[in-house]
Amino acid sequence: MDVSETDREPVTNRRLDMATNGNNIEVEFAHPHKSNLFKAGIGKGTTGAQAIENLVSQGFLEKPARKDQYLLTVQSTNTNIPPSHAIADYAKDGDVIAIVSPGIGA
Amino acid sequence: MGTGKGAETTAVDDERWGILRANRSPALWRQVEDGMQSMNGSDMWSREKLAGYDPEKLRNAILALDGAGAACNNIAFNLCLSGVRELRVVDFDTVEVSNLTRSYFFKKERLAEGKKRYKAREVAIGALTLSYAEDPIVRYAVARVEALGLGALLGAKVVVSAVDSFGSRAWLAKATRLLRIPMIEVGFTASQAHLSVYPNKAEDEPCWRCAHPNAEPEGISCTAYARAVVEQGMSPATQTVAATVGALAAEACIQALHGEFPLGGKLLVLDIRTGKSTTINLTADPECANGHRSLARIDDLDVSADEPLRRVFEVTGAEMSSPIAHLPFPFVIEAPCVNCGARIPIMQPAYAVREAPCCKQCPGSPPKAPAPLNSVSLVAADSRLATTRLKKLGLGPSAIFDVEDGVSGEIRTFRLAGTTDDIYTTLRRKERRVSDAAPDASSPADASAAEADAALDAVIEADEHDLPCF
Repeated sequence: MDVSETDREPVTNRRLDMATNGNNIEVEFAHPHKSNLFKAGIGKGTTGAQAIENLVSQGFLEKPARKDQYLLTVQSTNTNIPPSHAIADYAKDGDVIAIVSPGIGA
Repeated sequence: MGTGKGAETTAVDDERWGILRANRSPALWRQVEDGMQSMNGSDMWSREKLAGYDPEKLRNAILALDGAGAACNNIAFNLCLSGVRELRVVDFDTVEVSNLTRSYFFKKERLAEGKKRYKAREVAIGALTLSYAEDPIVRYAVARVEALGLGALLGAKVVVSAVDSFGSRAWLAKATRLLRIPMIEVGFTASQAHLSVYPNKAEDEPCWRCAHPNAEPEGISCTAYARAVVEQGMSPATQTVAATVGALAAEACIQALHGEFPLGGKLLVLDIRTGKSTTINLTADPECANGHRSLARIDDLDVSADEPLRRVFEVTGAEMSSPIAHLPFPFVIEAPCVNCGARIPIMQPAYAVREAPCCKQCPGSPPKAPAPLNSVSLVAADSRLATTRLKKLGLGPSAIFDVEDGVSGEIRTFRLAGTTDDIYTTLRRKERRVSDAAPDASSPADASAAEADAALDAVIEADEHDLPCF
């Protein structure tokens, strides 16, 4: 996955290649609480879990208190991407992937 | 009655206690309800009926509330007012002073006495007192829900997962799928609330675990060792977010009781401060770690949890060759010391081992890589564990578990002997006028915690055996 961090306004670019076999589509990850976006080139097999791991290691996302705390959702369809599934199976070029962090307390 | 603020407060309290006293007696409450109906020409549930509720569905409802924190308090509050007949509340934890501001059923007066107050019991007592059901039943267990086993959920029409632990949420997701009971899952952090609904009607529906494949049922594991050195932060929440979750979940429960699942297979995330909300379509994972299996048939066994496992083999042996019991949780025989790696005997189900064990001999030793755990999940008739009591192996009253035919590989599901009353402490109202036993209503605000406790004991008929300890 190839990634760049942006704010929705203004947009800045910072890129990171997460794809192992080249990029198939380009998507933007939306931070769960802030207005930041992260542009990313997604490889064919890049899974949701791998993307989150990369976004955490890049400092775009805070380190989660628990595994699977972040969920990925394709904004145009409101469809959740299971962590072990390839993002490219759910998202198309130009999609925004919303990162959702449901509450962990009850 | 005097004048001024103090007197007004007393008057309000008197009135409130009067209502409560009537409410504690089904016979008296029916009189009150009949009287109101004749006065107003409408019954107590007229508004709910207009909103599409069928009071009969609520009157016969059994709901399991797993986790008795702020979310549970607010859900139970709504369900009690809505006339739900039976609630089952499970939580192992005790009330802390910081819980009071988000939990209607935790009372400062009771906490002030200095006694250990279990969350599940406090919710149960409060719910029984408040309930508008004609003859409410509230059951509670001070335990981790995993420890009670599937039998604790039998009969429930809806299960609410209001637990903090991801491991318990994963277990509940699997348990409700096995038993085909709808599950409502809730949570919150700061101003953000969420609710997800799982009808559990079909195999290809998503379950909570589909989106959380790494949230394994907890117990001793590599993560337990990690937890020994990494302290997790607590998630702050307020009454407003807990109340929102309570209302959303209670409505989802009521809809489920009517067979309706408008949020089925969806996750609703709502920020109560900004009003921003998202409804996400959850996706089923065909390779979900929970397996999405449901139990087609459960056979009753005339074997109690106090008997050894070999008794199960004796009873099933006539129909099954070389039977092998599948324990619901791995049974940990021994585990390495978190510091020096020395083996420490455990002999407990994995869910009961919450922290990595440590030798008394080596405090302060530098950490070493832990050796593998020694645990078993499959027990055959010739195993030494076959002589162990079922309860010790994690199979309590009414526990449901698989037994495999060692020759054909066929798997059958059995249920140990036991009733709901063996699993839960059951609270009911006494069928009598409570005014005879209630505390002096003239100054309820001055009643001490001990008096309040005595009053509660007088109006609640409790089948309070020893707290379940599995």
